[in-house]
Amino acid sequence: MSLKRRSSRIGPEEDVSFNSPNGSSFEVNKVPNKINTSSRETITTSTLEKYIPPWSEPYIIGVAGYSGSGKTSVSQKIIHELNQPWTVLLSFDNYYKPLTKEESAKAFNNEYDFDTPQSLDLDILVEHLNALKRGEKVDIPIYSFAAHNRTDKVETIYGANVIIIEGIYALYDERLLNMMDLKVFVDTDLDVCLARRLTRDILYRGRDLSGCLKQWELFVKPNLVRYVKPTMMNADLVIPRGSLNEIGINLMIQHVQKKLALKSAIHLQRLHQLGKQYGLDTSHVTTLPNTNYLKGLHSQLLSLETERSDFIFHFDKMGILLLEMGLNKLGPRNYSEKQVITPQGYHAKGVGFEQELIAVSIIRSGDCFMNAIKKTLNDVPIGKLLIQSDTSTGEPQLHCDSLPSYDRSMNQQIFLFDSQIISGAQLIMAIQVLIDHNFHQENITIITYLSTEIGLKRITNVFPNLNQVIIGKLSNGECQHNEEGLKDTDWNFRNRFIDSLYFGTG
Amino acid sequence: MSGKFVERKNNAGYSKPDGPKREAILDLAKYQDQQVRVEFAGGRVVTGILKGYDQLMNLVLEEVKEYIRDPEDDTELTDRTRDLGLVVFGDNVILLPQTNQLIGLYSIIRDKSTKRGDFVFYSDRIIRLLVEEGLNLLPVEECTIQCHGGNEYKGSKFLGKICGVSIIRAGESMEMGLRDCCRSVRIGKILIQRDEKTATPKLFYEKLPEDISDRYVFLLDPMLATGGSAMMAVEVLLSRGVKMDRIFFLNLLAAPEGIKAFNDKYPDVKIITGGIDEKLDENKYIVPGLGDFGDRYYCI
Repeated sequence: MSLKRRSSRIGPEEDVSFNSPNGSSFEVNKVPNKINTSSRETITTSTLEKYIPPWSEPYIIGVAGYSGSGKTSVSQKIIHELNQPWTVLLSFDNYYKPLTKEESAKAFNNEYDFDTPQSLDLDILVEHLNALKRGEKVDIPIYSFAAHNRTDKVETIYGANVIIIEGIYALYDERLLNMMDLKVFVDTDLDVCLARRLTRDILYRGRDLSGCLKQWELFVKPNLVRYVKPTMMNADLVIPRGSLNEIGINLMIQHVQKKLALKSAIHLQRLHQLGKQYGLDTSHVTTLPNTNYLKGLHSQLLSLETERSDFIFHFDKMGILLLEMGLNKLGPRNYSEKQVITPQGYHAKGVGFEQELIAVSIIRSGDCFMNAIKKTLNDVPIGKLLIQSDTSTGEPQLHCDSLPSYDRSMNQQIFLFDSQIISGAQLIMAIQVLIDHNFHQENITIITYLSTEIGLKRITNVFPNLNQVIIGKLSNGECQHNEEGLKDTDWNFRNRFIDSLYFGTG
Repeated sequence: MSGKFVERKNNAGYSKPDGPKREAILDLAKYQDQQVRVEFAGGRVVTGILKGYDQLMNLVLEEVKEYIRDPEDDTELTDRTRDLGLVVFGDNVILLPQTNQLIGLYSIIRDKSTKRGDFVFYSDRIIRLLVEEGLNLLPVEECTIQCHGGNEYKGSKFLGKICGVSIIRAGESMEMGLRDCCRSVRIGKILIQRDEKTATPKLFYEKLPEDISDRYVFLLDPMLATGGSAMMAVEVLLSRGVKMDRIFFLNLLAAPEGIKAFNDKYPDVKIITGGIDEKLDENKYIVPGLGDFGDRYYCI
């Protein structure tokens, strides 16, 4: 499975508290109505706290315009300027209906009308958008203009912070219009459009001049005038001259950026609210016992005087202990009775393992456990998630994922590694990603070394059915979890120092 | 140090009855997985969840809390407790918690069809657990640690030094596990082989650290069958001035006969094992056992 890259932007890995960007209580009153109502619904319909991942409320921009007006350039410019991980461009080009044999023959003679709304599979597009909002994986069909048909290939996308829907009929369908937060119409002179269209179709889509002109005269232009032009009335914003209109585009992008900042602030504030409402339920939480050996190990790991080579050595030991504890906490259905024959020919009663183990590490903090994983489970598949916190706000952002696939027929137990739980935001997002990839909450075990009470509370309140959360040391928040007096506010529990020390990046 | 976690079983109170039939007076089955309170002959009192027992009144307790006694008067209990985690109370035998996971690992290494790579990998995993269990028994002293952010941690550090002593050849397979937990540990070696004429073990070679008498010794031999060679190794250690209660004998699998022989002769040596099997067969192999550990580990 390839590592899907979401964005070129890699921020530093600080994961501290949530600071709202201005340090003030952010403009929550100006939240768009849509978001307000949906959050109210979730609170009333569910007694438990619920995490609303950013991808369940994507910011949707529709970009419509005549064929060749520069919709794609404008969309790409938006993507480039926004610089957000998880910006998805959905092009109407991918949603042409597959043609029947007759239609196909017509198409090759340039006699098929591709430019009516009927030639597009808008139902699927609406369905896909809804699925993305639900956090499901969506297979986007890939259309071949040379073959006039859908190819076997699909592009899989999952979740999105920002979705740009681009196509001549982007502002046509009522259902799509209702979902959009911003509707843009790119208005370019039809002569310019024709010139661009000819260049594109002949140079890049393998058509000939006469065919293209025939299509333009017969179908494209009449449809543009009849169907597309009226949709300009649905737009919030019309951009004349397409991508040449830099001021217009920049104004629009500024508006979008403002809206997105507000969205992050709401996301952060919700994360912040989590864990405030309920107490800490420790029925699925295991902290390592405070034995002499472990006390000695904690002392080595927390001490200022420990050299880096020793720190790595001791952390590997701690990692193995945590993982062994996690394995011990797998429920009885992971085991079956088994009889083996020893080399001397005796029968020995024992148990067999009935699960496929999967390790998932959150880059980079979880990577400190790699040695422990290799020493304990030699052939386990290892998935990775890159979740970074935005430097200025502390908002967690998912950048890429590479996960083993879910297999319904197998009992897959997932171990999710992160060396520290500070705010809990990273892990909440990571668990949500796993659940979105069909893994069951009951099969997820979290392995972590240091955890704050508030972070743990957030996680267990949002995901009450996790198999287990294994913690090396839990700090004291409202309750007394450790007799040594380690507190949530202590430096060790508020800073990601473990991976810095482990990987030597200071 | 002795008996810090491991209590000698008492013969007073509830314990094994006299007579040929070794049956427990107490039926502990109904207390399985329940909170129990145990009073020891020496006056210690602990509570914990009963996870396992045998007819010899060896107990496996989880989440053990010991009531701390009044320092002035040993017989007075205070309200203060300390956590001991999972503890086996018995004849100085410490059995690793018999979790499904551990039993699963044993099923792999017992299986004759297991390939050598897996045998080595899973044995090493068990050996690590044994070593860590042993390290947990070492005495510590409280100390205050300066943490990175300036706050303090009331931690502890180990008192005393340790060394490993492996019985050649199979015992050497456990050195890696020890090294994984204590990087620069000193390791001595003892070669003991069976004298074919007398069928008794005979010492051929020993190389031990000079200051071994000051150290806690982890004696490494994967199998405790009759205990012949291990007992001879203990004899060597004692002759070098090692104190008996500072010897920890680590093995993966033990036979009851071997444990008994060991306990009778060296009551203060602690045996840390991952599994106790049924018995020995007529060839003195452990039943069901796992074959010849050295052969399987070193592929002969």
